[in-house]
Formats: sequence, structure tokens, C-alpha cells
Amino acid sequence: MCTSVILKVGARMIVPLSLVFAVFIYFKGHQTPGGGFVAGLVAAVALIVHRMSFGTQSLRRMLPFSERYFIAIGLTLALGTGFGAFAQGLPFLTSAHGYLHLPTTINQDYNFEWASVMAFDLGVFMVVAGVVVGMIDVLTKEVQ
Amino acid sequence: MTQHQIVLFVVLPMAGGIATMFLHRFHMAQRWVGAGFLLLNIYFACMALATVVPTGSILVSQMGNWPAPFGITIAVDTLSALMLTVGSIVCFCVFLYCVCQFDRDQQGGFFHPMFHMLMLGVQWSFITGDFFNLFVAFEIMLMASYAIFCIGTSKAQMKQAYKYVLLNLLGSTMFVTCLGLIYGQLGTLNMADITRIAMADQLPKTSIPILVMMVLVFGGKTAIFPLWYWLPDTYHTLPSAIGGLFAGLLTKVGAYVMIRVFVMMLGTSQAITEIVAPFLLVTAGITMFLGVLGAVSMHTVRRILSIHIISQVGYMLMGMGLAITIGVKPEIKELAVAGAIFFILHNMVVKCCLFLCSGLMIEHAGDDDLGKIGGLLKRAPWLATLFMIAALSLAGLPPLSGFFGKWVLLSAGFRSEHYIVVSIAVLTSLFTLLSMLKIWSYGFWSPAQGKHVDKPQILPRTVGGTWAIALLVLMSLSMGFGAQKYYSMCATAAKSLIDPSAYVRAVLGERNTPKRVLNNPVSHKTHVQSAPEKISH
Repeated sequence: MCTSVILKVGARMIVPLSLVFAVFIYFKGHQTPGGGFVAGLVAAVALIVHRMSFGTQSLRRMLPFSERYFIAIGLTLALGTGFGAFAQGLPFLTSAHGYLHLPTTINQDYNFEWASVMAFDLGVFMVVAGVVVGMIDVLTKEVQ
Repeated sequence: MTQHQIVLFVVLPMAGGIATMFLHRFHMAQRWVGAGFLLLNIYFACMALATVVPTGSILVSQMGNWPAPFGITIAVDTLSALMLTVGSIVCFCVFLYCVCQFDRDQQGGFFHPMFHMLMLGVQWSFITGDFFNLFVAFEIMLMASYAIFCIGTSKAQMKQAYKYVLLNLLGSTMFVTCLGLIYGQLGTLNMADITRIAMADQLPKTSIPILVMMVLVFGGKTAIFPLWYWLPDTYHTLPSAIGGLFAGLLTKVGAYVMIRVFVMMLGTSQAITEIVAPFLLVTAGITMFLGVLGAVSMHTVRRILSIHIISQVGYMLMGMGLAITIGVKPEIKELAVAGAIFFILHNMVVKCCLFLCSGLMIEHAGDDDLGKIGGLLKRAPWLATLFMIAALSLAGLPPLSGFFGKWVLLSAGFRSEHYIVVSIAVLTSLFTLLSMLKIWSYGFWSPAQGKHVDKPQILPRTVGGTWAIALLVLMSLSMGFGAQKYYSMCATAAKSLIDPSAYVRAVLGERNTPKRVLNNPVSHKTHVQSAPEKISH
């Protein structure tokens, strides 16, 4: 795989930035546009850029496990969230939520709203990221 | 079984899929875990049936606790419970066959997760009470079927898979377009809510063509007369077990949804039934007759069975058509729907069983071209016996399950004086018997020939498969000898489909007023007020 120096240098900046941005979108998504699906796509883009510039082996070293397990773990999380409510005798996927006071300096009385849906969304995030990275992997293998 | 537990029919196959995904390197563990989940599934399906049947009650669970027309509803009534029970048993038998019969390549990769995901899609479409959700379930089912289609591929199979994917994409596009238009017209996609609107005769004129267009969407999936061209070419290229799974479950999901939509949801609306009912009856006649003629003309076991699927769909359409024809007495309508349901259940079991038999015939004789094989009666007497029972059951000989389904349908046809379709149905039965006897006389009864004639008689690989077939035959026999029991369950289901007010009440609560719910002040204040804003993002 031939990669240019420009891409390699650029990737060093793009990858961490996109990953942080993905986390931002993920948290933003609860009340405003965003959420696990988009965040997963952004994270996948970061990983693919990394793969384009440093090669598949480097991506494998970076990820804790194969991207296929991302899909399985994501699905488990999503299913588990629904099951939490179910175990308490509520309908499947019933969401719980609450407020968490965060000691931030800018806005003293900022309350972070958490919801059990966030775990579900994290599952979506992982599935999307895993599927996209996996698909690109298979498709580029076909091309090469 | 309590109300909220019905979600297990979605959760269990999904959990099975995830578990086997984690275990995709461990072949034995994958099989045992998968079998465990499927057995658990059968257990819960039987529990649901036992809960629902005696009282005719309906189990409803609102996903995420959002009230009915806003959130997603899942509901199990008698029809769903029957389909779930028989479907999960069929699925387990196919699984048993696959595990024993397929070599490692065919089971490798992600075959097991895909199998469970297919099951997820099938069961989900049986229990969902929301139209859009039905689309999602269909998509899951189709995605999984595309993947399973390509496992252990031959060139012919890939070519047909391409056709299959393309046609199903077309169907899905049409489906989702229809749904969008329906939502625009009615403001709801909840099945119970649409039923309520249809019962109050408030369907806007403009929504009628869209709802009628649904015939094409589901007709394509079920393979009814003008839309069946994709089926005979596709199914016979598949490995027999997968063919059996598709024939036993996927086309029957289409038939189930047609009953749900055209009999329950829209059956009370005269504007729709006066277009759909004659169409269904005419199509039923043509579908069953052309299908069976195709089967008689074919000379390969799997091709005969594939085209036969179409012919059998005709009987189901006949039942549905009679059930929504205007002017037919309610008790005859019930008879027709009960017959159609019985026939679907019988067909799921028997069709799948025959496909599995064809797989073992190939295993024993090396081919399934009737000109090249023979003498299987001596070589595999058990297989021959099981095949004979299943084949006669398909043709509809008296003590077996096929007879009772056809008999109920025919008597409904006679009593409502639709003599043409009835006589076509009788003629079709004769031809069915002919085509089955053709397989029997060429494949089993003729002098021995074929590639593997001099190999040892009991192949270890076929033992598990034979057991799977035996289980299905046992199921079919129980439906024949316990026909009264099964029929009374089907009749309960039919009753609640012809008069869906109980279903509407169970899903929408007591607010079942003729006014449109969206404009109504609603009793669940806390939830409903927060629902639209929560849904919007």
C-alpha cells in the first residue's frame, strides 16, 4: 500500500480529533441532533483514515480486538439495556433517566442528564463503527 | 406467560445470534448454544400458546412503555402464538439437519449467527403490531437470508442470489414507500389503530389505492400468481436444508402478514375488500393450478418441490379471499380463515420436511434428477417411509394433516357457492398427488441406479438428518390425528381476526372511540405529552 507523507502527517491530527468529535456527538445526541449512529460513522472514518495511512496491521494493533467483536459487543449492550427494564417487570426497553451534578467551572449549576438509553446508544455506536470498518476491510481486500 | 414476556421471542433469537457470534471460532460450542436457544424458544412459544388459546386473550407489550399509537406495540394473539410454535419447531428441525449434514465450510463463517438472526426476523414479524416495525423485521429476515443464500456457494446459486436480492430490494422499496404514504394519509402506522379506522369506516378515499398496493408487496414475498417468477428459479439452487427453511418459513411469513393485513386490518372496510377479494380469489385459482402444472412438468426433485410452494400458496389465498368476500356469512368467513391458518401451519411443516427429504435423497443417490436416481426404497427404507407420509400429507390424503386444511377450505368454498375455485382446488390436489407419486416411483421404487449405489447403506451423516425429518413427520401426523384440537385453535384465531375489536381494545386500551386518536385528549397524560418530543430526535 502506497501512502503519501502528507496523508501520514495529516492522519496524526485527523484521527484523534475525529475520535474526540465522535465522543462529543455521542453525548450531544441525547437531546439534540447527533447520537450513537452518527458518532459511530465518524469514529469509523477516523479508523479508516488511520488504516489508509498506516496500513491494516497498524489498525489491528490499535484496536483492542477484531472489529467483528465490536458488532457482537454493541449488540449485547443494546440488548442488555432493554433487558434491564424487562427484569424489573417493565416493558422491554423502558428508559430510566436522572440528573447528575457535575462540578464544572463554567456553569456552576449544570446538571448532566443521563438516561439508560445512552448504553443502548453506545451499543449502536459500536455496531456502526464495527460494521463500517469491517465492510471497508473486506471490500479493499477484494480490490487488492 | 405474562404480558411483557412476549418480547422474549425477539430477545432469545437475538441473544442466540450474539452468543454464536462471540463463539464463531468454536464449532461445537456454537452448535450446542444455538440448540439451547432454539429449544428455549420452543418452550416459550408453547407457553404463549397455552396462555392465549383457552381464553382467546391477547398479550400486548408496549416497547419502552410508550402508549400505543405512538410507540411500538408487540402483541401475541392466537394466530401469532400458533405461527410462533410451529415456526420455532420447524426452525429447530432445520437446525438439527444443518448441524448434522453440513460440512464445516457450510457451517463456518457466520452461518450460525445468521441462522438465529433469520429466526429473529421471522418471529418479530409474527408478533409485531406496528407496520413500520414489520418492515424492519422483514429487512432483518431478508438480510439474514441474503447472507445464508451465499454460504457454500456454487456459481448457479450466486446467479440466483443476485436475482433474489434485486427482487427483494424492489419489494422492500415498494413496501416502505407504501408505508410512508399510509402514514401521510392516516397519521398512524399502528396496526390496531389502522384496524380501528377501518372499522369505523373512516379510511380516506385516497388511502385505498395505497392499501391495495400492499397486495403486490406481500404477494411478491408470498409468490402469488403474477409475481411468483423469482421463486422456482431460486429455491432449487439452495442447499436443501436452507431451501426447506426458506420454503417453510419465509413464504409463510408473507402469507401470515396477508392474513393479518387483509383479513384483520382491512377486512372490515368494504371499499378495500370489494377490490381485493375478487383479485385474491382469481389469483388463488390461477396460482394453485399453474403451480401444480409446473410441478408435474419438472423432473428434478427440488424443482418440483419449489414450484409446489406456489401451488400451495393458492390454497391460502383462497381462504383469505373467501374471508373478505362481501356477502359471505360470518361463520363461513371464520371457517375460511381457520382453514387458511390450518393450511399454513400444515404447509410449514410438510414443505420443510419434503425439502429435507430431497437433501437426504441427494446424499444417498448423488443427484436429484429423477432420471438419474432410483432404488432408494431398498437403500434408505426409513427415508422412503418418511417421504411417503409427508408426500401423501401434502397431497391431502385423509388421515393426514393436508386433508383437514383442504377440507375446511373446500367446505367454506362450497357453502359460499364459489364452485369454480373449489373445483380448481380439487383438481390441483389430484395433480399434487401425481407429482408426488412421480418422485416416489422414479426416486424410490424404480430399479437402483445413481452414483452412490454401491456405497454402504447407512451413511453416518444422514442419521441426524433422518431424525430431523422424523420429528417433522411426527408433527405433521399429530396435526392429522389431532386435527380437532388444532382446528379449534385455528377457529379461535379466526374468530378474533374476523371481528378484530378485541385486538383493538387490547392494544389501544379503552379509548377505542371512532374519533382519531391523534386529535383526542388522551388518558395517559404523562407519557403521551412527553412522547412526541422524545420521538422527534
